[in-house]
Amino acid sequence: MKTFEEKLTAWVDGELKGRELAEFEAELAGVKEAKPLKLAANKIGGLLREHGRAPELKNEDFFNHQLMQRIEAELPKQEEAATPPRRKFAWSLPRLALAGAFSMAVAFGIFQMAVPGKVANQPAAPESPNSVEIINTKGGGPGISVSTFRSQQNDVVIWVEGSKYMPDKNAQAEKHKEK
Amino acid sequence: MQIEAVNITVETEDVDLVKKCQGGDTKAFNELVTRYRGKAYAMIYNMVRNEQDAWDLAQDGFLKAWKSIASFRGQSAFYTWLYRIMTNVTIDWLRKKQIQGGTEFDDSLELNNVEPGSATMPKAELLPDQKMEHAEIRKRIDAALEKLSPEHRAVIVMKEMDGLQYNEIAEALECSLGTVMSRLFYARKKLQTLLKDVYENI
Repeated sequence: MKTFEEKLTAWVDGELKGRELAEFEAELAGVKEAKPLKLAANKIGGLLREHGRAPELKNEDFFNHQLMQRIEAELPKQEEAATPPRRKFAWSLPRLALAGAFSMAVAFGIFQMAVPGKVANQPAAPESPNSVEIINTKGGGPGISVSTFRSQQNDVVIWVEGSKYMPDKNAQAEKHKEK
Repeated sequence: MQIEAVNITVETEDVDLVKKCQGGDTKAFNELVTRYRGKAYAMIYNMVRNEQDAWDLAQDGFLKAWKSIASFRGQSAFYTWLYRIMTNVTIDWLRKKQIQGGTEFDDSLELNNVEPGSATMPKAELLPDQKMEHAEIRKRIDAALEKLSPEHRAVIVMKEMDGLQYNEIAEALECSLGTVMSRLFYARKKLQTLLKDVYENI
């Protein structure tokens, strides 16, 4: 659906045909300004074509020469942009290895902490005096449970759940390395 | 029929040259520049109304075309693609000029303070008084076009000076046909106000 301005422009340029032209000219029948507007538009077109045209390009060969010099100057930059950045790739390998090692360490830690089956399969650890002391602290309640197990590194781990408070000295890792 | 055949041949040759350019052949690009520098320069001049600026912008446009020629897929004729680049370069430049220079594209400004005797490009030898008259008209046209926004200037120049059809203008400016017709309406309206005394006295 064309607006009035669009139709008027098409009418001025002789682009309206058939039924669309007839309908629009009927619409324009009461508009006195329509014909002078078309005449003015045609005169302006003629004025621009006759007096507004561009002069010819002078020094055409120099135009090419100057442009080619600019292109030659751009070529090394373009080639550099097209070459894959090798150094960046070389630098990324050690980073990748480091990130991989770190991820594996974190995954191992989470596995150790979160998988109950793994915990259950651990060999029983010797009873620690710390476990009794923790239960007897004022933070102890009916929901508190303390268990110990031996890690793969042969450390004794005291696993406390449900305690709201723990003495500082018990919060330290207690290692019982078997000789 | 013969003209159509010639156009097809030119387009085929353009495609061959473009393929060479895409392989890094600067000589092939030089050939394309030779073919289209005149048309590109004229199109830009019609919009900026200054020979030095038109030269610089045509250079920038061709350089941009060289840098992005790898992206040309042949979906349109090479010149249509090039024309679009030149149009974008010119409109961007006009917008920047508008911001930096604080020019207002407003038809309410005074236009009658025209300097007589400025440079002109007559088609044939004219009498001195005719030369003077042509120079004055040209100056008035330059001043009037300068008062139009870059978008309005582009459509009027493409339609009246470059002789493009609505669909070709829409393609070059990457806008709808309705937008082209609407911009053309307002551009003409402004020019009628700015150049009324000129076209009524011819």
